[in-house]
Formats: sequence, structure tokens, C-alpha cells
Amino acid sequence: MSDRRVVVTGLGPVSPLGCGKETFWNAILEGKDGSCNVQRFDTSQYKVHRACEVQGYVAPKLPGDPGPAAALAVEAARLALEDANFAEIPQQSGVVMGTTGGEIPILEHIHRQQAEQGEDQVPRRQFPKYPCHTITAQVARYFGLKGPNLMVPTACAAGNYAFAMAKDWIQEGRCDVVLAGGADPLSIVSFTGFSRLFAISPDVPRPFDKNRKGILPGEGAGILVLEAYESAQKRGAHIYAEMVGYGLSCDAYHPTMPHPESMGVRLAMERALADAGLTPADVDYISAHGTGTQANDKLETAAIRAVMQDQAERVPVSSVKSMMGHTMGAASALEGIVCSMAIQSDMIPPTIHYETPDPDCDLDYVPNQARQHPVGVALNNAYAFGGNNSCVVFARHPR
Amino acid sequence: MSQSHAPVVITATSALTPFGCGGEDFWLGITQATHSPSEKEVPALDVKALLGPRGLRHWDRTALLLGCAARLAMNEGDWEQAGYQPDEAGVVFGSTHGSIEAIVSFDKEAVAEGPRYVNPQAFANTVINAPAGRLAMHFDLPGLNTTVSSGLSSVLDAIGYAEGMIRRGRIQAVLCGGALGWSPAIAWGYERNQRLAVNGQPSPPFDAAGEGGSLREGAGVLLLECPERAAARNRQPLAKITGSGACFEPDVSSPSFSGPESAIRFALKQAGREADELAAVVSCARGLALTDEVEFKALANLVPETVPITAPAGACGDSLETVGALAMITAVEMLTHGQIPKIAGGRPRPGLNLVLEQTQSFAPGPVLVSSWDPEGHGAAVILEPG
Repeated sequence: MSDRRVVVTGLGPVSPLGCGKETFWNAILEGKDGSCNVQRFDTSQYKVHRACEVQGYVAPKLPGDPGPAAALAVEAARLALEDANFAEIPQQSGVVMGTTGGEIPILEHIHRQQAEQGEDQVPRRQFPKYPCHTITAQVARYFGLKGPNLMVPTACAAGNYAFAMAKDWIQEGRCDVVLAGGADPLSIVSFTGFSRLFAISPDVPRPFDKNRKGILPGEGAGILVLEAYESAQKRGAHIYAEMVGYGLSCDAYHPTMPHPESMGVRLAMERALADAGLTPADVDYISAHGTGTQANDKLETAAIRAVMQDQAERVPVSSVKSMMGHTMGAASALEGIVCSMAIQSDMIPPTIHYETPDPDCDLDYVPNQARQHPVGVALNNAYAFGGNNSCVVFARHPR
Repeated sequence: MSQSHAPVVITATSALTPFGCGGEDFWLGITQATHSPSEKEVPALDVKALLGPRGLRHWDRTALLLGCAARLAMNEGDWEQAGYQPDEAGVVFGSTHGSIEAIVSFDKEAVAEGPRYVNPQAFANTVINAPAGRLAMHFDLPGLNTTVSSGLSSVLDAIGYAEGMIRRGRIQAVLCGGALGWSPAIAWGYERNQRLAVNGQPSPPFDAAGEGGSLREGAGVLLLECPERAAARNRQPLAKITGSGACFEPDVSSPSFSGPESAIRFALKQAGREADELAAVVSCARGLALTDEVEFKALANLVPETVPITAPAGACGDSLETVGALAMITAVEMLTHGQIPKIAGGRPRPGLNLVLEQTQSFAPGPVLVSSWDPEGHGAAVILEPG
């Protein structure tokens, strides 16, 4: 079973740039700016006021009125399954998703109700909606899926962790199809925390630009339908890409700061390439973690240089967080969709808001304009609080 | 990356419960207790002795419990002699609530004082994977760091995931388990929803009308290793993991609803075992009919009535997903001692051979550990003598 190949057959983005594959990808190629003034909550007590919210999205009505992360996840799954075009969704399909805060807005709502109205006035059914595994449970329940079901809350690298787990499930024969991705709603806790770390940009995110001032918190969900190749082939499914490898690691250095020599990031990328049986010369595009903070972008650049060696300057590297902000646990899931579409269309997304080169960030970041470029192999980098690092390798199918 | 063909082994365990710190206190507690302890917290936890005097200021209680349990497991497993390179070892944490008290206090401070006055250092603890990250930093374990969540089944799923990562050669050794620090937020949230005992009178596991157990702190860590590496240093395994399974039941009202049955079937199949070969079952039943009745039905359908069944939560209380870690450690201890502890406070029910009167002898053989979460997540692990 371990030789089974795993392919991408459906894409479901719900993002600040729009929902659905075509809307999302067109916005990416246009270099659309998904930022806005925060609408979800009052930011008058903060020094920063910008974020990236999902606009024009109607949350699906779900039994039990679950939290916003579950609604985002179900909609992303619906779009991905629609795109995968199953005659009948296999009941034994699995669901695995990542998140940073999960349904943390549920807790935020409880705390504000407690403060304003007293503890007894909080509806008792609120709290059981908080645990993050309710998100994948809602997805599976909505579509009647009985396969393995798991949340992987490894913060902002979580989508990639979910892809990795899905690949293992399929290769081990636990299921033929997995809905894999990530979801996070915009949260007050996250906005407050990043603002107290002075890590939120006052206007827009500028990954890899010398004048970058931080992230813009975002929200969204992204789902890939990952499927055993023989299953996809049998039903004549459209194959966007093949997931050919992954690498995981941990900085084991600091809860929020990246390792100063990028040791964990390098290990994840090296493991991913080795797992895929590829070398740096095979890589055509890197979807960077690229948050827009001073430390991340400098150290990610150093890691790419260390791993890619003499290929580093050849390979385009871009950060779609410049357009859709940092969607936390959804980020690498949405970026997995970006990698799949880049392979599909031989187009590389831009890094927008790029104006001033930084000597510490000296790679080809595809500034401001999408670029036509053959993409046979794409790496998807994602890192997280807690020191979690990940890299997933997607490749053209057939290669 | 070389795959191992022999089962992954467990070479050390450590449990922290209101009975005390370490395996002996835990085994004594679950074999002698008649009900869950009145203490809510782990007593006499000497954090500085176990984790050192520095660098712990920003650790929350859950991370401290996980760290102390990990240190004890590493001590028992002669970790320093194992000679693992840093990138060969990692951490897998089964948790759904993470450091929930840290999240709650961070947000409540923002509500009370305003967002400009919260402590930015506390933000790092608001991600669910924070305790696992703390562990990796403290013990320098960069090889793997994953937190998995499936509610009350989280730790058994973590064990299954860690076992697979070792078997596939992606990592050589994993500290795997769960922890729950005392949480007023959880007590408030679940007592109001009748998921924990509200009257101070916990129900015993598998009580048909169980109204919940008593929330208690707990932590359990198991050291999982590649069998070849354990053998190379003459480390005798305590047990080996021969199978694991997971399932989800989307519709509890469906006639075909079978709870964790398919997880158990998958685990047995992977182990190459039939249900009638089981020597015992350790259940994560906790005195809550909402979960216990589903597991009861699945076990009654699958497991011959001769197979003895225990459930340690009756003795050590309900530490939510951490009960999975304590159930795993119970199974390991059973294989070591050749005994199966009784279900503290348990009452007889036809259909299953619940161990009720006293600790029984049993011939060590395959042991099933199973769990069920009311969202629909089932998990199962098969352990066998090392």
C-alpha cells in the first residue's frame, strides 16, 4: 500500500480574495489586495485596524449552529467536492484539517457575555462548540463521511500537516479519498496577540520588502481533495497535481521566534525533497510562508538559500499572504491550492506591495505581477508558533 | 528513511494523577482506589526538580504537567543512554483543549483591561500546540512535533499517528501522550452541559445512567521507539503496539450506528488478531452515559463475554482526553504485572465482563484500548507483551 500515489482532484478555497477555485485564482493572478478595515469587531482600542476578512460569503446553515470555523470548513469542503465532481462521494472518505485557534470566537463570545451579563446568562450549549475537533466532525457529518477524522492544531503550519497526514492515510490504505486542509476565522485573541507583539502591519503586508512591518491577520478555509491515483484514474477525475512528498520538523528554539539559523525550516525542506526523491534542480516554484515580518522573511530566505544552494536564485519564490493576509491555520491549505493551480496553469502568483528590495531578502520574489513560467514541481512552506515547520511537495501529473 | 517491519515498542511510561507522580503511585491508585480521589490536582509536583530551575516562567499548568511526565518517562527509559540525534526524536501530543486556561486568561484580561494591556508573552500559550512546542524546546527534540485533536479520543489517535511515523521510518523515537491542567473554564463549561458530575458524586464507568465523572488533572507520557533502536541498547520493551484504528460516525441516530466498532476492527486487523484472542480490554469509559453506552455497545458486539474489561477513569477521575494516555499506561502496567485492576465503583451489567470486585490476575496477551468521543470520533489501539 505504501507505493500508492496521491493526487489532487478537487480545490475548495474560501478566502479574503473570494470563494471557489476560479474566483480565487483569478484574484491571485490579478494581484488583488484582500485587506480591509476590520469589520468583525471593534478595533478602536488598538493601534492597528486592518485585516483580511472573507467577504460576500454566506455561511452554510448547519445543524446545532456550530462556530464560524466549522462554517468556513464546510463551505470549503463543499466547493472542493463540487470541483472533484464525484458521482457519489465515497462514504469511507477521511477528513483532516489544521487550525490555529479553532473555534476560539466561541470562547471570546462567552467571555464578553460573562462580563456584560453574568455567567448564568451564557447559553449552556455554547462551550461544547469550542473544541477544535468539532470542525472536522461538522464537515464529515455534513457529507456523511465515515473515514478517519482528525484535527491537527499545529497553528499556522497546520494545513500542511493535514496534507501530510492525508497522504499517509491514503498510502496505508485507510481510505481512498481525504478532504484535507485548514480553517481559521478572524479572532480577537489572535488580533490582540499579534498587535501586542507589534507584528501587525498598519496598512498592508509587504513580504520580503525592506519596509515590511508585519502580517495582516486573515481568515478563511482551504480544502484539497486528495485521492489515491487509481481511484482518480478509475473515475476519470481531473488531476491538478500529485502530492509527492512532505517534510516536518520543529525549531525546538522559541515559542514564537524562528530559529536564528533556520535549522528547523531547512530540515523540513530537506526532508520534503528527499521524501519526494527530488533535488533542488527539480524545483520550479516555492510558495513561501512569507508572512511579512522582519524575522520570518529574512530567515526563510536564508533557509531557501541553504537548501536550494546554487538553484536558489533561479527559483521564483512568492508569498500570497501579500494579497490575502495570514489566514493562520488555513494559510498553508490555501497555499496548497495555489501550488496546485500554479502547476495546472504554469503561472506563478506575485508578491504584491513589493517596492524596496532588502539585502537580507535577495531572491526572486515575483514582484507585483504574476508570471508565466513552467511549473513542474512546487514547494509549499509553512511555519508556526511552537516551532512547527513543514514543507509539502506538489508535482505535475503525469510528470 | 528506512521502514521497520517489527512492531513499534513502548519502553517507558509515566503518569501524573491526583494519586501522585510516577508509575508506582498510579498503579497503586488504580488497583486500590474505591472511587476517584478528592484531590483535583496532581499533588507534590516538584517542577524544578524535574525540569530545572530556569525557563519555566511562561509555562502554563498543562505544559508543566506534560513536561514533568515526559521527564519521568525519559528517566525511566534511560533516555540519555539511548543516543538519539536531535532530529531522530520528537513529540506527539493528543489534546483538544490545549492550554485552555492560558487562552481564557489572555482573553479575559483583554476584556477587563483592554487589548493594549495584555501580556504579550502570554500570547504564545494561546495556540493549541503550545505545550508540545514547550516540550520540544526544553528537551531539544526537533525531529517531529505534532498535536492531534479528536476530543476524548485524541491521545489514542496520537499514539496511532506516532506509531505510524516510527514504522514508516520518519522518526525513531517519540514522547507521546496527553495532559490536562486543572481548568475552571472546563469545569464550568462541561458541568453546565451535564458532561461532568454536577453534584460532587461521580458516576462509575459503564453506569447505564452515568451523569459524568469528576474533573481531575492528569498527564501520561509513553516513550515509543523503533524496535531496532531499543534492541540495540538492550532495552527490554514494556509492550509493543501491533495495531491502531480510527473511525468517525456521522449520524448517531442511524440504525447502522456502531460507535468505535470499525476503529476496533481496523486495529485488530492490523494486529492480525481476532477479538476472541484478546486477553483484556482497557476502556476510556468515564461515567458518562453519553460516551460509555456507545463504547459498551461496540464492545458487547465485538468482544467475547469472557474477556475482562477495566476502565481506569473510575479510580483516577476524568481528565478528558488524557484518560486515553492513562488507559494506555494501565494496559502497559497490566502486561507488566499480569494483573487487571477493577473498575472503581463499578456496578455489574450483563453483556460485558467488567472487572468489579478486585484486581484480577490475567495471562498477558493482546490488550485492546478503546475510546469514544460524543462528536463521533472512535479510536482503538492493540498492545501486546513486549
